[in-house]
Amino acid sequence: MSPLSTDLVAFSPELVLLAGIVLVLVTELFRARGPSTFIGLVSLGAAVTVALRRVPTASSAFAGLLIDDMLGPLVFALFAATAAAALMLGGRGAEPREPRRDEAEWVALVLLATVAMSVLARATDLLTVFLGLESLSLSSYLLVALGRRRRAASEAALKYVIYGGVASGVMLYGMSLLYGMAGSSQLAVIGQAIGRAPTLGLLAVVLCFAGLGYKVAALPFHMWAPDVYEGAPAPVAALLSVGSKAAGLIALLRFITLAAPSLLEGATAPWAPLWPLIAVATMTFGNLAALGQHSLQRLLAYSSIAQAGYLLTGLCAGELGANAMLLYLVAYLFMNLGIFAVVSAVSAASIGGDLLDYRGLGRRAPALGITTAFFLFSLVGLPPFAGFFGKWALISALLADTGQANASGAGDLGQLIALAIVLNSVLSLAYYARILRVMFFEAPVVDTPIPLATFGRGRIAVLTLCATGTLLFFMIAGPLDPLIRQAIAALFLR
Amino acid sequence: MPLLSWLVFSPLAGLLLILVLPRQKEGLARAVALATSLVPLGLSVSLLRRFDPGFWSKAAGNGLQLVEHRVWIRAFHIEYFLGVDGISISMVLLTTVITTIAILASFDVQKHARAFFALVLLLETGMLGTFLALDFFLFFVFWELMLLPMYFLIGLWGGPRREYAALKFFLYTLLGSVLMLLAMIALYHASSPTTLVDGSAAPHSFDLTKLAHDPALAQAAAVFGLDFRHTVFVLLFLAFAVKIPTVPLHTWLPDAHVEAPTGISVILAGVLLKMGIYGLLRISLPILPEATRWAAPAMAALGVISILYGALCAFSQRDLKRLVAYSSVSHMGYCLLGVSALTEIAAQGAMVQLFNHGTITAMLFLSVGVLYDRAHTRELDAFGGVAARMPSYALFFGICFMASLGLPGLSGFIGEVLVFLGAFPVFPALTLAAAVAIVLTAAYHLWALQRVLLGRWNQERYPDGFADLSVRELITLFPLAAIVVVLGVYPAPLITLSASAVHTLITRVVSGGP
Repeated sequence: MSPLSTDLVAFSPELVLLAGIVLVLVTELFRARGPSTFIGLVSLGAAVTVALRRVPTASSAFAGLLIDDMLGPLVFALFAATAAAALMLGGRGAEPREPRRDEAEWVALVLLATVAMSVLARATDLLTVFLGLESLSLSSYLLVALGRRRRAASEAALKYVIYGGVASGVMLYGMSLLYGMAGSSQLAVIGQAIGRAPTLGLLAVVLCFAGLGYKVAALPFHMWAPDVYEGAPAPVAALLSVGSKAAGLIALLRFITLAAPSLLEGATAPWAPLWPLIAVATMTFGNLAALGQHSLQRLLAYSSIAQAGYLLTGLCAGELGANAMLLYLVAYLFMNLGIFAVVSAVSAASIGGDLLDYRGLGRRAPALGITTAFFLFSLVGLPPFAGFFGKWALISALLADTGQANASGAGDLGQLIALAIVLNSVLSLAYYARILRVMFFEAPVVDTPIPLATFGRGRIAVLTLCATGTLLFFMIAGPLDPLIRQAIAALFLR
Repeated sequence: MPLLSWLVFSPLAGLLLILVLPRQKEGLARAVALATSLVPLGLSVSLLRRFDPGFWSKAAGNGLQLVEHRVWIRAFHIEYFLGVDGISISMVLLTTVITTIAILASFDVQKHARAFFALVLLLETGMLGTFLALDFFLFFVFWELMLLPMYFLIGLWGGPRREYAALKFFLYTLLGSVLMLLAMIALYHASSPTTLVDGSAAPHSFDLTKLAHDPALAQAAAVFGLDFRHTVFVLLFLAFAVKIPTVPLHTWLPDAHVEAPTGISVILAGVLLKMGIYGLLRISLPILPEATRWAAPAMAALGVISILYGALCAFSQRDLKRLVAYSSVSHMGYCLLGVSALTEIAAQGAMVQLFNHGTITAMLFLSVGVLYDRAHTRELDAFGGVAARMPSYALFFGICFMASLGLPGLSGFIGEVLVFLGAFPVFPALTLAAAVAIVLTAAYHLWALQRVLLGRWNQERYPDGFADLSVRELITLFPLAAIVVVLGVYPAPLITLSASAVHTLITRVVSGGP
């Protein structure tokens, strides 16, 4: 067992963020309008620097509660980027008519959520999985409820709490079964025990999936997403749809590789079709439901359910699939944060959130229109945008054993999933293109151009960064790939 | 100088220039666009001069010239690989000529002129890239790149039902291209290990020239119980059939054409419809010769059905532009029949028809546009006696309709004859059925010609008459008419360009191989 100091060093990025939270809250005590957002951004930057400059020890910390491996800093950067984007979107003037009074709380909660995501994504013990999940949930509930003067926000927060409570309860039951089977809360020990009672093990894993699937917004635990995304402020929805989802997926990946490796082995296991079924059902449902939506944030909620479906297919193709899932997550970071930044920018210009309110926006604000087109085309999966490379990697992983001799039933399953992905992409075009149609093809109500400055500096910065990342993803993907490979390989070493 | 890269990306320079134009100088956008489109036009002419049609027979290689080959994304084994051969060179020329003419024809676009011309230039990059790419991944990226500008060009500047037409076009083409994506990835994973151009090893290959000689594809295991090569061929064919377009995947075409503005119809019919057949010749035939032989009868049947069905539909149209659109379906059926016959003459006919159909339909759509600009309708019944009021217009209108119906001496004739000559020994019954369509084709063309040019002038509706062709209209129609007449009388240069490439390709497909 490592000494406490080593453990704390392994935990240093999160510690930096915790220090940031304290600093934000203390500053607020002395100055009513402290530079909270600035402190938040600086501490995120410092934490990422610490995380990326450390060389992971590839061993456990805190007696096996957390792992200190390559994947940790990689996804930490992802979470911190999401949090920074949310802070920049939700800084001063998020509610344009009134100056933000709750800035310190908002910044502190975003940082806390980031710490929780990181804990969840590094957890190797049932205890930390639950701890990370719950602290992420609690900070998310509060974030959703921050806009409490709006009825929709209060309703969203309440729904979120109730669904979240149920999901955590179900997950706890699953965990108790796992603990009973293995006599330990260590995921690795559970992994050895689970083979002795596969049926009960499957049941327990599925029950645990309730908690993580809830974070990912996967079927059948997606019900909260549309109401919450619609009711929450856009920056919070962005944080939930990218950060929470990513944390849930990484935790799921660790959970499966450690505790139920046979789930990943494909055709040999009796439950092989479980993940593909969940993934395909999630993407198909999300896309079909999005077709009829009128509120943009609600539409994007269904779209991000569909995207969760694509991401989950990464769990159906072993190590290559996990690589592809991580690559897709990075692409998703750019395109989905980008589209929520658009929503946030539009609401900053005092324009409503209904699709009808977006009429002619592409003509009134061409730069905003063009970046929206980038994000939407990327979400469809069209080249040369980021989403295409993500989808390509996923499909490539699913089809990896195509045409190889003695390809068993597993190969055909992969081809079916790949077919489902591409057909769903065509389906999704119908509603993504509807947004573009409204923005570009329909005449605006008022024909005055909207100057860029209306959107605020923070939003423009996020939009620019996301658009650049979405457009030039092919330049990032190459250098990123070996890092991802290395990080994922460690998970599949056993 | 990397000629092909300049050729592909020079329109983007114009695009950037247009984007920085101030809002007040919107009118300048068209001049910039026209000037920019002259660059790839000039480069493609110099390409033609440097191109050696006999290269294939001399060198034992793959017949590719002016090759540019670099690693693009090493981690994914994707290369930047451009090259030109006898099959692509005529398509490159067609693209640059048609784009310049389409830009000239769109000079009257007032609404958001900057965006319009920027998108046309982006489209040109996509088209040229598709014709020159030799790496499957790169090909796919360019292929999809054509989609985005086209969607906006139809949706923003189109007719009353433009939104419906734009989305339909987008959905159909995307459906085709995602199937191509599956086929591409499946081929990649079934291919043998290779080395990239910089010497680094790769487990599989996207390189079209390597895939075309890859024995591993023949040994690939079955997919869903079907032969691997057959499955991949079907996926690719569906992708290309949407673009050709082949009945029953053609329904997006009449809608897109009717709604699209004239200049965009010209590009759509002149260049984009060539992508399907080009894809078959560039990808399906060389990579999957065995599957091509397997699928040839079915493809030929689809081709003949398209010929007949397109002609019958054209017969019953009241809208002149819709009539021309259905005539395209019919004419592209000849190309498909020519490719599926797998004889050198028929394939050569398909190649010739590709180029000539591009110039002829471009002219047809320009002529329809000229009429529409004056009458604001395309109803055939509204016209009559145009020949007397617009004599020089009537000349061009007559030339393109006669060329389209396949009159000997104009360029539409030679392609059809070669297809019939080459396909008859292989598919006698089908070819005879297609020959029936010649009568139909002649009938609907002549009937339309007669209703527009001859007869009585619609005095009640158009008491003031129409002005004859403007100088700009003359400049757009004249070069195409010259090409149509010259290649009609003397088609040899066009045939020489592709002869050795077609010979090698068909020999390979017929003589076996995986």
